[in-house]
Amino acid sequence: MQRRYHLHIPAIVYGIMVILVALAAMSGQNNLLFWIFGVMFAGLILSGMLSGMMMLGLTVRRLDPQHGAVGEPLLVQYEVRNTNRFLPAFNIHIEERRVAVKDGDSAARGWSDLMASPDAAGAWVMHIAPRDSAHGEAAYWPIARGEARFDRIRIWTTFPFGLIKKSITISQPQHTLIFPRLYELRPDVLRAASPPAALGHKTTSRPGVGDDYYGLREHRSGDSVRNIAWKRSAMLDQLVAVERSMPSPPRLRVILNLTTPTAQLRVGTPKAATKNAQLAAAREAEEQAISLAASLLHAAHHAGYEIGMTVLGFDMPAIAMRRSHWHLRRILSALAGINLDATRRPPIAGSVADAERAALIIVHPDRVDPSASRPDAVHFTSAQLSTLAVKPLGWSITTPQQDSQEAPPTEHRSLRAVAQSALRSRHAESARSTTRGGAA
Amino acid sequence: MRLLRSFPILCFTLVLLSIVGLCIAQNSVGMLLMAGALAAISWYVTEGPRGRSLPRWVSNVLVIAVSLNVVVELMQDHHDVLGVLSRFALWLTLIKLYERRSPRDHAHLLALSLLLMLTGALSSADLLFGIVLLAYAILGLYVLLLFQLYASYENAREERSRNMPAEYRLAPPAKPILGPQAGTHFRALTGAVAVSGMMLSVIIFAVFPRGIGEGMLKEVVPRKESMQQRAAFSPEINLMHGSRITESRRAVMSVQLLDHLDRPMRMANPLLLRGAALNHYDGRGRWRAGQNETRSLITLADKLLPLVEFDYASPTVIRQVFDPLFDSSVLFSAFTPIAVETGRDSELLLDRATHTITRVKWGGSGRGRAYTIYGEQEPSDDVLDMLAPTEALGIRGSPGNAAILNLARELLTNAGQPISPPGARRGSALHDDEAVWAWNATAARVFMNYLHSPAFRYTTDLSDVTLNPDRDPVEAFLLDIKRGHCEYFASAMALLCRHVRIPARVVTGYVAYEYDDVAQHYIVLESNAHAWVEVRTGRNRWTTFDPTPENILRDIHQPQAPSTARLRWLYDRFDGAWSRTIVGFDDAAQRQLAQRTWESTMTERVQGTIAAIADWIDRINHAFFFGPRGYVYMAIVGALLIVCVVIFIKILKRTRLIRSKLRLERVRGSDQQRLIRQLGFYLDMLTLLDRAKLPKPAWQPPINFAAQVASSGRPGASRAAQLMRELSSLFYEARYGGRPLTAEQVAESRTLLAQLAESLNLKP
Repeated sequence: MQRRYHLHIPAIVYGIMVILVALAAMSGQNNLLFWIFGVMFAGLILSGMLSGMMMLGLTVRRLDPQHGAVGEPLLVQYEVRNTNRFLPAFNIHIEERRVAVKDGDSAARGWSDLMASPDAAGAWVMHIAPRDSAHGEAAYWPIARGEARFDRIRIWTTFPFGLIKKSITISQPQHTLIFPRLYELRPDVLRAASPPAALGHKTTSRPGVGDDYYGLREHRSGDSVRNIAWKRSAMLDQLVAVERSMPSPPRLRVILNLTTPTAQLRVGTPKAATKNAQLAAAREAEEQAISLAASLLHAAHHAGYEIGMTVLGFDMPAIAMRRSHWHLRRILSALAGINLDATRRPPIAGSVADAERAALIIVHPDRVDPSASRPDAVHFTSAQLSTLAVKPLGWSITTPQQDSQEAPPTEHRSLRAVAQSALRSRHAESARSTTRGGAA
Repeated sequence: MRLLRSFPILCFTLVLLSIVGLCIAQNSVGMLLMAGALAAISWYVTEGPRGRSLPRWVSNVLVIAVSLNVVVELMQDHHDVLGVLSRFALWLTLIKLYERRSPRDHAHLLALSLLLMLTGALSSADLLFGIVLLAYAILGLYVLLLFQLYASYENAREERSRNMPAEYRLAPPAKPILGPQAGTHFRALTGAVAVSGMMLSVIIFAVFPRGIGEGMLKEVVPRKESMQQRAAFSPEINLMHGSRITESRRAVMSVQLLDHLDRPMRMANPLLLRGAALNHYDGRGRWRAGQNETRSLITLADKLLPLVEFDYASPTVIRQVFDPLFDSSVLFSAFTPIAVETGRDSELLLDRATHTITRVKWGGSGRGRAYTIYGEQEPSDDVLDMLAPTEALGIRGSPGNAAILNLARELLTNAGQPISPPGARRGSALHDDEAVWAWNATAARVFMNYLHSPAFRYTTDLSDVTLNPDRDPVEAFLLDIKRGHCEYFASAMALLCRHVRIPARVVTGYVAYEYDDVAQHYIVLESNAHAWVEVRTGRNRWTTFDPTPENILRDIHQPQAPSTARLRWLYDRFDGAWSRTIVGFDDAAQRQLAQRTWESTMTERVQGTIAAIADWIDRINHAFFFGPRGYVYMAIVGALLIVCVVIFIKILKRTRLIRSKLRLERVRGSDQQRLIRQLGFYLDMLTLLDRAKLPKPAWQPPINFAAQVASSGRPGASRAAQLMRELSSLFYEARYGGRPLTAEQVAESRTLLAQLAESLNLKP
């Protein structure tokens, strides 16, 4: 815990005024001015003492912010406790200190690198009673995916007179994940991308909560009256309940192909572009690919799919097929944690679950690479995001010009056409390359 | 939120107060009406139903115009820097009042209001301004503290909405997060800050060294009005430089006359208090005192010092007790001084020719500035000879004005008097005989009557009179202007006398008219400052003549009508105290305070306090005629008071404990009082459990805890648990059921508590 007084502009101006009043009082030997000087000087002393005493009894704790998402406000709550017995605390500002973190092995970055207007974010608590606590809330606006690291929290006040700023800095290392930006995709994306066999609801050979008949069992306390098989119960002279089968929703696996290192991506930048610009464009393409994958999974989850995800290029196990809110969050966490600066690895054989009965979508950052995929897989590139997406979910920090550039094209092509276009490009690519891939 | 909502109106009130303060300091009713009206209208314009405010560009143009006006004013009159600065600040404030009110604008307004009060403090030291300044300081403190919260809230809200993307409105807006009793805490904290700030500022005021750096900013900051100026008394007269005569009714001194039996006296005529006898005239309107050869240094210890031998028991001896409210170097006396008592170690200069006493050194110990002069109402020649053993007139300055000489001779001739003393020859010294003294008196009376004639008019307003620096202003007064105040009249008569070789001098001091029947002393006001003439009518005898028209003088100095007199008297008391303690606090007063503070030890101070209390008890006992029994009664009353205080503190502590332990802070009004009265038994139950080493965790409901106690296996635990359940039921019924306990239930709770203590093997 670090405590300190800050000299800031109002204090300097006030100090100059106090000196001027003292000089005027001395020059004119004016007792009213001497008294005014006394009041002003007393104000200076009291300001320092009171803010110091006030801050002495304060402790602050950051409540776990869980996770954030690009496009959604990240609300971080702080609990400020006033341990003073008699002295209330007023006008408490809470702010996060910047963290300079750039870890090569993880996606962790300082929170300020991931948020818009980091200097303007902060919480404010007007009053904390003695021996009481209050919760302040700061709103951050994430603009990039990743692991945001928080460390030091600073609380400060200029109460009572705004002259002396007293602060306490407390270290509380913590991190939170910022999920990639999600887009609202065109409604027929999933249906177009899924083979007909993968569509539609099916039942499984397990009891569950579906609608289809599975079997009969003895009635248990708590069973719904609706599930009682009345005829069978009458026959057996005991209550028998109908058991339903577990439904099997459509399944989708999204494979995010990040095997190609950023520097080797071909994102179609002009030849005249500098290397840094090319790298930036390539990195942007990778981020868009991640966003596209996340958006596909998000849309599939909301469409009732069981979803799974595989990320190629990193030591990241494939995420199995599930359908739940927590599962979606797990997938988004995995996408948030991708460190694009880490060394890329070639795909492990069999990592694309060929045998899995599920629709397969493979997302590439630059160009389609049909190797190691199933014949019925649908390939998307990051460049197609603008075509597939209707609008970003949440908010976006873009200029109007950018808005107009990134707006979906006016020509509304069918998704099947989009997919065919992707396949054509893949054929052309495979014809040019010597590598032989699976048929589209 | 109500706290924050009150800020704009309070800030506006503060600004209005500063405008009023400046106008009072500048003594300008016109400015007050104009600026006050503009400021008041601004509230309706900006905060009224239409809510209009001045566009920024318009206010900027106005500010530029005002700035240009300042430059022009300074070029025209560069001496009145302070006045120009104060008007500039006033205009800026008025413009700001019509602007939009963001926190930054409010900060500007607060700074401008402070500037207005600072310029006001530079301009005036009046009590009325002091009252406004005090009110401003208290309100300003509250507003300043509130401004911190208001500005932070507005900034937080603005930052939150500014950072929020335009298409996103789901993030919650910043709201002030308040704990319980925020308003109470804020007001209590403001009070504590005000008290401590006031104490600290008084300490700084008292210890800040005076006299250092005086006049270093004299171009901008005027020298403060000295207390002698405030008292309208001066030991010299300069007719060319305005007047010290004022109509202010501020009290400057009180004088009590005591006869030889220590009985207060009131004289039939107004009391002329001699301060300085001015016998040097330079022919250019300036009178001054001073003649070293007739002065002698006298040193006083803490006792009476007779100047001549006299009989203390004589009925003609009058004791004059002076309590001046200003720090004057002159000791006043209404009668010929024959003894001095200052009650301190001091050194005085006695001018035996003029019977005036001035202060050289004033000792530290003693009671303020008070002193006592013993005076002889009708001093005999022997007394006067003892006081002035050598004949020393001390008259200086040649009466060489032909116009005044001609006028004096003409007046004497018209009155049928000789134009020179009987037996006097041209160029010879005056003869020391009775005929000369009689002629002196007669001639002086002729001149006085002339000045009392309707040809001369009394006025203090000489603003339209332009005096020629090459001409004697007294000549101008006598021959042309013929109007002026007492200094003109006195100067004219003294010079008329001197031109016909009558020794005469001008005396400055006060004429005391107002007598306080309650305090039995004269109250000398600032407007009582006066000048008159003394003419030599004996070897060492000087007779007083007042050439100022008596009826005019009486009108000016007459006490006010009874209906307003009391209020005026009260105000004058405060004004006197204000002048003495605040405005007149200088390096001498500072030294005196330091000596009084540090010279006495802590033991002495404690002893002094005990002695003061004992004296106070004695006085009470004496006042009620109790006799020795009175001390017993007072001891009983004192003991009862202590017991009451202890009981009150205990009740207060228990009330606070019940409120905090049973979480009754949020229950309001009479319900809270009722619950505090009735639910004490629950607190007692918890205390008993604590004593029995069975503390109930705060999170656990009492019934649940009772079950835990029952299963603890402790002897008597089941009985205790049963009693706890019953007590808890009563508690729930009153606390959450909203049903007040009946008297029987309260009695039952006491019984249950006693049984609980018994079951836990504790004393109830």
